[in-house]
Amino acid sequence: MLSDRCFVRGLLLGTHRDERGQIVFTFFPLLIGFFIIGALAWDAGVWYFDHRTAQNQVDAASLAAVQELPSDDTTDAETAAKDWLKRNGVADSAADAIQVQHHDEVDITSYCTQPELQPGEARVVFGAKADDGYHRVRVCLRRESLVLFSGLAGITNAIVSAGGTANLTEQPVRYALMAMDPTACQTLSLSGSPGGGGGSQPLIVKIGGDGSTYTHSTGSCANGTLSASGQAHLCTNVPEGAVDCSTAEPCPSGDPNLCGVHEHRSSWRATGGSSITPTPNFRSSPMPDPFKNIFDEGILPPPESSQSCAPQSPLPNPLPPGKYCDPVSPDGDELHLSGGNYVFMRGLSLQNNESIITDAPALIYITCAAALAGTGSCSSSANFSVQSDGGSNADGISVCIHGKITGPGTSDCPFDSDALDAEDVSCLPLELECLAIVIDPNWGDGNCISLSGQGSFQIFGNIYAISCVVSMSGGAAQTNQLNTTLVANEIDFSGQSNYDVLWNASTAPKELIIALVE
Amino acid sequence: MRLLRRLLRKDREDGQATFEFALLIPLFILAVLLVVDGGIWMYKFVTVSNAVRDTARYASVNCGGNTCDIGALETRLEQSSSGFVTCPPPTAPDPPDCQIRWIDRGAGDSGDVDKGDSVIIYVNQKHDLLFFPVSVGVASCAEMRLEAANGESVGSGGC
Repeated sequence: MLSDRCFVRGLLLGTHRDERGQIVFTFFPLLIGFFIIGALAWDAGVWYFDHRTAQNQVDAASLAAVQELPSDDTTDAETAAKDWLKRNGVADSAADAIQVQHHDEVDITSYCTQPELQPGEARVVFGAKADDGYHRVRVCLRRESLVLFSGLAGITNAIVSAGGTANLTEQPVRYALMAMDPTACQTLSLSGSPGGGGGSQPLIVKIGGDGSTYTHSTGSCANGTLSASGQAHLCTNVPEGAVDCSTAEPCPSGDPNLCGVHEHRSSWRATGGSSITPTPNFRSSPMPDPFKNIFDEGILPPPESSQSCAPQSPLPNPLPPGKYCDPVSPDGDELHLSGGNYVFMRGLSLQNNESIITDAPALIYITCAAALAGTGSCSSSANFSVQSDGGSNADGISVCIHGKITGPGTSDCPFDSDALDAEDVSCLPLELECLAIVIDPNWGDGNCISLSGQGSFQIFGNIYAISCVVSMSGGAAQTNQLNTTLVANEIDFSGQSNYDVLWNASTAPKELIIALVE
Repeated sequence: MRLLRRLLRKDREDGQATFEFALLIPLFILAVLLVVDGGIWMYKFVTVSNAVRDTARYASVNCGGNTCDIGALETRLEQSSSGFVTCPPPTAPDPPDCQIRWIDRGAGDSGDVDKGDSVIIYVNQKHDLLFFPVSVGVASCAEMRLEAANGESVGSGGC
């Protein structure tokens, strides 16, 4: 019995001895498990970081590619996507072999998985097709990511993927007068006649529609970019009754000569990924973008040197699209354009009772071929000048520049600029096809557009004179009409004439809004 | 004496678990601290990466016509990264690597930085681990295409 008790006791003691190290034995596997979980978490973090890096890469590529849109030909956009993928660290092999898809629909998200991308592959998908081409681009990629510790858990490879979509939308810029010089003071100025009697008339510029003025500068004179002096008065679409612009009544608040909304930007802010650029991307049919290299893109025929310019006299009527070398003047009549692109290589001059009329969307590009070719300079007439009757105290309509006039129930609105009468005037509020006048951005800082005289003029169409000065000097109390968005480096009004500037959403240049959408 | 004998008895097993746990708990704590420090490092990586991307996007959209100076962009970079990135003046001692460059990629013909060229934001900064006397690097770079002309080319190279 005793021996039995000893045996049991010994057995129990032996059992306890065997339990030494039990905690280590049970805790060690737990620790291993914990390490594996920690390692997985670490690797998951690496994979997430790699995904974020890939997301940055595709975002940069899609934003680069969308700058080449809208276009039916996506070659340039594909190249941009490739380049910016590489520049952000994507392997050349993946970028160079990028796959391309085109779809009409707006939602192109699913096409990154149809068919499934293999690791090491990238794809660019174009979508949102409209009349002028694709407006949306999605760039996506898949690749193998680093596996550090996950092999302990049997994970041998990890795939990360990312996709970014950039979208392009267009909206009319809401400015009727845009003075773009970022450094000059008084980029938009009105200098009326000195106050007082003597028969002097005030200079009044009135902007109708919802348009406003825009000035841009960064210099120390940021607040002096918009000015009115003498009997000058500028007012935008102020609330009715607030001020009578036609009488130069002082504005209710602020500068007594500057009523309404005048936007000045010394710095720009983007919200929600959208953008407003200091030099907006204007697009206005039929002009894709005056800030692009307009010749390289084949929009216009390249200019020739002055020696190779053949005389173009007499001018055919209507004038077919093409290049015209001599200083062109309609010679007392109208310059009738049949629509399309026109390059005037030594300027375009309008004088009394002359006009330009186009019955289809047209673009006039004015350049100085000799200066571009480095063979000389253009004469003073080698720009765009409008002299509306040089006589004293002349009145009546003298010079008109119109696009096609169409409107409800009016398929062929009669228009005779030589004798603008009530019938013509009745057409004016109607819709106008676009006529764009573009001055070569290489023109220089000089005065490239001059509108002067004591008659009056009407311009319907957008004018882009990015590098130079537009001056309007009326000598008598005429009312000139500018149904246009006028973009210039500097805009100067002077004299005693009045100007009715009408902003129109349908004809205003378009601003491109680029944004990441998903 | 009796107490000492009791303590030295071979079959004395009280506290065995505590002793073994005490041996292992430093390893456990070490692992936890590593995971925490690694998480902070990774968080910093992602935050800096997002800040670099955000600043590059801002610069590509807004910095036309020399309207943005590098100092303003550095301030934005610092703010976007919740203060993780610091870009002191280059004259400061031991400046962290914080570069903002405008690169002429050949867009336009002017030779300057035009619409279609690039802005590069590059950050490479030291991160001191919280629980270990080790510094590790946090680097990120983004190159974005400019939507507005900037002016003169500043810097060269790429990401």
